[in-house]
Amino acid sequence: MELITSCKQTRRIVDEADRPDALPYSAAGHIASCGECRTFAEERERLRHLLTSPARVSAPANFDAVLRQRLQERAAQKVNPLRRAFSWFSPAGYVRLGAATAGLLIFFMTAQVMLRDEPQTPTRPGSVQRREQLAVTPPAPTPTPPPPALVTPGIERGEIQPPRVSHPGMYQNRRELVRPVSHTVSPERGGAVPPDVVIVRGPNGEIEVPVRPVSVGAQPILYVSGGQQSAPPVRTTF
Amino acid sequence: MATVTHQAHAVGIGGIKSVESANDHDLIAAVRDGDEVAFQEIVRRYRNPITNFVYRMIDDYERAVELAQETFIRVYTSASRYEANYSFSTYIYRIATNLAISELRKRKRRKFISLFSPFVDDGGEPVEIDLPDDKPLQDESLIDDERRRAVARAIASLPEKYRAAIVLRDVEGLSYDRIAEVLKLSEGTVKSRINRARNLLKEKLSAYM
Repeated sequence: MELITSCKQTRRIVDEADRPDALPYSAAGHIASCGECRTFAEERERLRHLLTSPARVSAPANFDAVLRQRLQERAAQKVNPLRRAFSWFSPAGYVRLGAATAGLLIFFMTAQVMLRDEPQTPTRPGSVQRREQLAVTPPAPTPTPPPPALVTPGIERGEIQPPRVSHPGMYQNRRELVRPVSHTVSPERGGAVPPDVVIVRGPNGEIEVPVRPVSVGAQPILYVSGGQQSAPPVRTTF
Repeated sequence: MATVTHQAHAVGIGGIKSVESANDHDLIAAVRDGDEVAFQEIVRRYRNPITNFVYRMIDDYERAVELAQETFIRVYTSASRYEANYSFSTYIYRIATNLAISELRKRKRRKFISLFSPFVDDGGEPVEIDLPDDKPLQDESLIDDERRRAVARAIASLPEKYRAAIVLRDVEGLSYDRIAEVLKLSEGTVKSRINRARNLLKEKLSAYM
C-alpha cells in the first residue's frame, strides 16, 4: 500500500513538474528505485519533447497591416450612428417585413374564403327541391303603361338584350321586351304574393333563397324608357 | 484605428525605448487612453505566441492568423473592460482560447469531412489512411515533417477541453495557475485534464516515442 501510494504520488509529481530535471528529492529517489515509475517518467519526458519539437509558427509579415485595416473597418461601422439606428431597415429587415406581411395576407385571405363558404341560412336535409311556378302570362290586351320595373331578385336564364334602336331618339314602342326566360315565376292574381323559396344545393351545403315571384313573358320585366334602363337587370346565377 | 490619435506623450509612454520597456499593464492602460504606439507594442509582443497557440488548437494556419487578428481587435475595442486583477497574458490568452474553441465547435457543427479519409470504421468515424512508405528515409527533415504532422493530428483528435489545457501547458509553457485563470477552472481540474490529455497522446504517439 505504501509502495502504491508512493508510486501514485511520484507519478503525480512527475506529471505536474515544470521541468523533468527539477523533481523533489523524494520523487527522484523513488524513481531511481522503482522501474515502473522510471518508465513513466521517461515516457512523460519523451512526450513533452515531442509536443514541443515542432517548430513554432509565427505571424505573417503583413499581420500588422491587415490588422490595422480591420480595425479601421470596425471603427467605421461603429461611427455611423444612422446606420445603426436604421439597421432594422437593412435588406434583411426588408425581407423579414415582407415575409411577415405575406403571412398576414395569406391568413386573412384564407379566413375570408372560409367565412364566405359557410352556409348563411339553415338548410333542410334531403334532396334538392325546387318550388316554383312556371307560368307564362298572356300578353296584355291593352297598351297600358307597363308597371315600373321590378327590381326583385328573380331567376332568369339567358341574357338581357340591349334595346334595338333603329332610329336614335325615335321609338315606335317604348317597351322593350326581354327575351323570355325558361324558368319564370308569376305572381298569383288577386292578393299578396307570398315569397317563394328556392333551395339551392351547392358544394358547401344547401341554402334557401327567398325570391319574390315575377312574371315573365309578354309582360316586360324591364321597363326601358328613352333608351335608358330605369333599373339594372337582376341576374342570378348558380 | 480611425478614432485613435497619436497620444503617446499624453500618458508618458513615448518613444520606442519606453514602449519596449513598459509592462503589459501600462501598455493596456495607454491603449485605453487611445495610445496607438502602445497597442502596436502589444501586437508585436503577442502576435507570434497567439498565432502559434491558435494554430496548434485548430491546425489551420490561415484561419489561425485571422483568429489571432480578431483577438487583438477584441483587446483593442474592449480595453476599457480590462481589469488588472489578472495578468495581461492571461487576458489575451483567454480571448484567443475562446475564439479557438468557438471555431472548433463551428467546424464540428459543419461536420468537416476530410478529403483524404473517405473510409469509416465500424463506428462510423473517419479513418485516416496512412499508407506505408517503403522507401528508406534519407532526409532528417522528412522525419521531422512526419513527426510534426503526427503530433498535429494527435492534438487535433483531442476533445477541445483537453486540447486547450495541453497546448497551453506543453506548447505555450504556461503555469498551472495561469492556465486555470485562462480557462476559468480550478487548478486541480486543469491538472486532471492535462494528465488525461497526456495519457491519450501517449497512446496516439506511441510509435514516435
